Amino acid sequence: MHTAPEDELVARLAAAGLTGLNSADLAWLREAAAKARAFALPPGCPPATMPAALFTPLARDDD
Amino acid sequence: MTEAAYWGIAECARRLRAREVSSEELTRALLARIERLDGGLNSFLLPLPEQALAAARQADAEMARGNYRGALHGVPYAAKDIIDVEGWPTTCHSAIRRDHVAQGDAEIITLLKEAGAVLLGKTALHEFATGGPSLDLPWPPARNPWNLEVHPGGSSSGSGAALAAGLTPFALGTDTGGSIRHPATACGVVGMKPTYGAVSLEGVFPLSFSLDHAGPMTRDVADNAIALAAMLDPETASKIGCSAPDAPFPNIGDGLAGLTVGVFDDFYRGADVDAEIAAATDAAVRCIADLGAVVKPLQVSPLATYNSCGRVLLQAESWAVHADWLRARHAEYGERGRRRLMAGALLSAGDYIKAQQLRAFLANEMREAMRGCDLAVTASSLVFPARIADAGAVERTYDRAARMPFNLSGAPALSLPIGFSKTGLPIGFQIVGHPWGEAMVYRAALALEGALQLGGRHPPQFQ
Repeated sequence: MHTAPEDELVARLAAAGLTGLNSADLAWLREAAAKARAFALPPGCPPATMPAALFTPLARDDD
Repeated sequence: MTEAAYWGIAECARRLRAREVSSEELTRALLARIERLDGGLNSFLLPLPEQALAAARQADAEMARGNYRGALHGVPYAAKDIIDVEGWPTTCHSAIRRDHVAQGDAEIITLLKEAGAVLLGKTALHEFATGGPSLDLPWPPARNPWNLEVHPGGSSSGSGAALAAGLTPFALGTDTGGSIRHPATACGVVGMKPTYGAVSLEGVFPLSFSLDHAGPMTRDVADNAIALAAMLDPETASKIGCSAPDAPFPNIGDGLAGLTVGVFDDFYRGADVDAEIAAATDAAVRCIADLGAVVKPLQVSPLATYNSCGRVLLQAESWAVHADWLRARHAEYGERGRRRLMAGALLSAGDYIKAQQLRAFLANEMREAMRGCDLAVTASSLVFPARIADAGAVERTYDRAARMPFNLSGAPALSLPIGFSKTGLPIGFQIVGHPWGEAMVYRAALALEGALQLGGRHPPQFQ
């Protein structure tokens, strides 16, 4: 059985502990979720295998 | 003392040292100006008159004894109300934190206290440094001194507005996706987002820990260098070539001749970029070439890729900070802040890791693109700020900017004014350095500022 997208959104928010949101908030969040889904890694992006490097953006001593 | 309104740090320091004015007189004059003019501007959430006057009197007494601490001694400033000041609330412009009282000073407040600076008060922001100008919070949003109907940029809105209105010689901001450079651009002042990690965030309420930066906002470039120098611990200061407090970056007057300057020109091309802003940015690039720099275009991923990567990181990390409050008290947030902070609840751990993965890729491509360049430049805002009352326009224009790439890369990026629109709104421009290359950024900014000669123009209502 398919779940309507808006129900899925409400369910995901409820799973995160967010309930009782108004319809305008839900509409805004639906759009934000769509933008986040549009996020994609470009070709050639290396795998995330170096966690230590993730939180040290360019500010490295060897620069 | 009305003439003190637009004295910068260097001017205040010169007059204080020459005993032409006392810190108490200067502080009283600015507090009186805040009292008189800030009613419709809303740049200060919390003026601290008694504390400021006590600090000013202490500075005067020390200087009278010959104990001069440096260029900030006795100079007033303002701090964004996301930065802890002992004994006072750090509200983050939110009802959620209305009753908070800071148990200690943020490290940057401590450093500025040691430099003898005088805190005038705490300035307005977007709720928790996100959201936007909101009318449903306990305090009204700051407005733009160049047009009170217009968004002053954010999230360090009050700091930008107070500077442009001549209410303080310098101010502190924070910048997670452009929150120092946006109000600097919109209000026509200078804002520096230093290298990631250069300025301590201890005692600064987090928004997104891997993107957060703190930095100074001023009305001119030389003042900005002085303020930043005072915000650095000695080790970091040494790392970025910062020396004596009164002339912290010794080579910033060397000009642009012989330097190679990259241009992220794709960031400000396209139908959705305001034509006046694109033209002014091109004119600034030509000015840099006329000053003797070699200018060359730089190719990196589209701006939209940088912005979407930053958005995922910011939403995920800020959700982690706010999840408990949002679950229990979401109605106490303003509408804009609440929505932006809740969006992170819809992201998975995989989304976040992918975004950090992309961030490493983007930071590396930017480093490679800038290899061989002394610095790079690009536009700041791509459109002019919307009217605060037009919620839809504020929402649409909020992310139309080229600032997030440098939060992702961690490189220093400064916004300075390069002109005005036909309607009298300021236009900003970004100068970007290599990590720890603040001195080179200031050097280029000082040369461009000197060539453009925009100083001395102030908002008509705040002369």
